Amino acid sequence: MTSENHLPPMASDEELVAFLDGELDTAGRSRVLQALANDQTTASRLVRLEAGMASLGHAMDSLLQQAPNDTMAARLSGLLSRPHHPASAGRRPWLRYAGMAAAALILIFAGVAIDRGFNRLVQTPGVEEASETDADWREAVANYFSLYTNETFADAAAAGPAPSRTLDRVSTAIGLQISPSDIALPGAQFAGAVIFGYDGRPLVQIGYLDPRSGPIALCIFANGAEDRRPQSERRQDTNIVYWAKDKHAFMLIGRASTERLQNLAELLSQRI
Amino acid sequence: MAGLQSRVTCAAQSIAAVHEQQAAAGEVERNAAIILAKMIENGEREVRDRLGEHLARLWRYAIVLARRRDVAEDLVQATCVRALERSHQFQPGSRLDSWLLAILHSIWLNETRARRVRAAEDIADHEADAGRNGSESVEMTVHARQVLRQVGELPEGQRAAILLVYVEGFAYREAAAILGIPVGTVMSRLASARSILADHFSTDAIDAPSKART
Repeated sequence: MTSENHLPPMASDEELVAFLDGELDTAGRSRVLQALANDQTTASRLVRLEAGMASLGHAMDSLLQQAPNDTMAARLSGLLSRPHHPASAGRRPWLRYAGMAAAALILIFAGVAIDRGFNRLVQTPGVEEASETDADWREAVANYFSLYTNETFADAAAAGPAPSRTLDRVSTAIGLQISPSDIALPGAQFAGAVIFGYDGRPLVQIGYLDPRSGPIALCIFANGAEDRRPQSERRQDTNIVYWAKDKHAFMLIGRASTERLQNLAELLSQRI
Repeated sequence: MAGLQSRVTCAAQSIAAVHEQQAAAGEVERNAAIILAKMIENGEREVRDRLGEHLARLWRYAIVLARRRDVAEDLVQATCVRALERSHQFQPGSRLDSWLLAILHSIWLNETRARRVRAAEDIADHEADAGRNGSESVEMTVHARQVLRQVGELPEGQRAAILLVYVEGFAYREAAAILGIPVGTVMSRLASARSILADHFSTDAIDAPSKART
């Protein structure tokens, strides 16, 4: 999305959108304002991202007018006229109260505020707590990466190794020492590094331009992951090889073949 | 010896103190159970009384997710059934709309999506049948239809995120809770969606708003 080789850092699209939506904290707002003041392209990206959101509201209002209200109301009143049996009540009321007492005990002795416990119940009705959090960040990256084209890295791609200064910054952010030779990939040009924040933790993206397949990115996320051998998957029309080492999750993403990405990932996983 | 005696006395005092605490805890536990029971009753009543107010917005979310009218109606109905079954889990005074939307989303993810017919319809085509329900049919402008068509072409996760944040007005944190995903994922979905829509709108904006109603 954004490649940065100069200071001050550019704001990511996520930051710009969060800025427009009033979702940034004070520090984030000043970062964006600084980027807007210093960089004309950031301002034009902001204007572009802002375009058309008013139309969305109007269109969605029209859609609301199309709702089959009478049909739905009739079906609901059919449901409500049935005898009322919530899942927890019914045949064995003692079980319900025993369950409630147990819940009360757990809440009290675990020192958890009752309303907080309820919020958890309320927020995830019927949703199985999938242990998918380690896949979420890859999904987020894949969403972003799906927008990359050959042109995305065209300006940033340079012959030769990555600048040490850039990698020093990356190393500090992610807590891993990375040298230019560690991340050099055969047949692909280094095309800048970007430091994102994901879930409140740093996520680093190192970009490459591969003459054969287009953009490739190595992403590193300090999420404390358990060690894992490289595995392949496919998301958003991209191939991904991901692994974990020394409490860091890695992913190599691109439109190159899985075999090529696996070879490159093997190389990277031995060096870093 | 005197030291041992004093330790034994201390231990006996500690045991007595623990018993007192346990008795107090038993009282607290009973009170908590009573409060809990009252809250559950209130929550169940609120769900039954106010579910009907949210049907149209549930339908809109369903049609944005499913992109089929028949599936959307079934999805709303399944949401009503589940909400009534689980009304004891609803915390009275909290937002009923986000609770219902989260149920709808979970049913869509875990049950309906797997069985859906592959071919999606155009979201904008749903006005065609509106009249048959006896409600007044409001025609959409050409521009509204174009916007809905473009929204319909976004990936599902992005459609859900923009509807919740930009149309329903939920904060990122609230939308993340409804979708069961981290806030960072909501942010990346919104940024991707706005970037894609910006491309469409910048070309459509030239001619669309000036067009008359259909």
